[in-house]
Amino acid sequence: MSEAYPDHWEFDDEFDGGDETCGRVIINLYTYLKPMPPGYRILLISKDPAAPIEFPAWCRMTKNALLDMVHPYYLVEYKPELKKE
Amino acid sequence: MADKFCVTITHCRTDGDKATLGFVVANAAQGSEKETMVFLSSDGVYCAVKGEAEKIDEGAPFAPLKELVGKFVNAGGKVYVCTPCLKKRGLGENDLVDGATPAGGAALVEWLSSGSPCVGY
Repeated sequence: MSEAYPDHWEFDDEFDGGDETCGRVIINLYTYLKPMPPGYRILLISKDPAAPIEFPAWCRMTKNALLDMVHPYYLVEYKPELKKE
Repeated sequence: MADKFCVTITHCRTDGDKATLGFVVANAAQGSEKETMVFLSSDGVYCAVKGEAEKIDEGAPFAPLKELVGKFVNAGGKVYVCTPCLKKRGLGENDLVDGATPAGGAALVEWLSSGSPCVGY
């Protein structure tokens, strides 16, 4: 587990899921991100040991971009395909 | 990949652990942008009966059932409740919590026939 996220990561906000697991962190994250604009970047933090499997799967299903990951840190861009150029 | 998902739950009073797990997975599905339906049948109908979900709390790391059901409904999830299963237990539409809808086998079959995967607890 990394002590800090990489220095070059840039994001608008952070979401700390703490030790929460499975559906609990997913539904909280979904509800939190729903009003955000496409292209919004968040630093997602989750100490759930399943997170390295869960968040890539969630990002694939929801078409959010997982830009980088260093457990427990995940850099996510919300709905990049919906961004207006 | 199907854009729908279904979770059937047949326990509440009989097995609070399974009722809790069913709603955890339903929250994961709804939170993954699947149009998700929880179909409650047999003893599972109690998950949507007023005053019953409050009795189920499996403890950490699981949230109390009442909270799981509330989050699921607030996120847009559908809760269908087997009508004959309610009737058998002397219950009706007025006994259900907000957001739960009485439904029958046809609603479940139509949902699954559209290509929705389903997991049962």
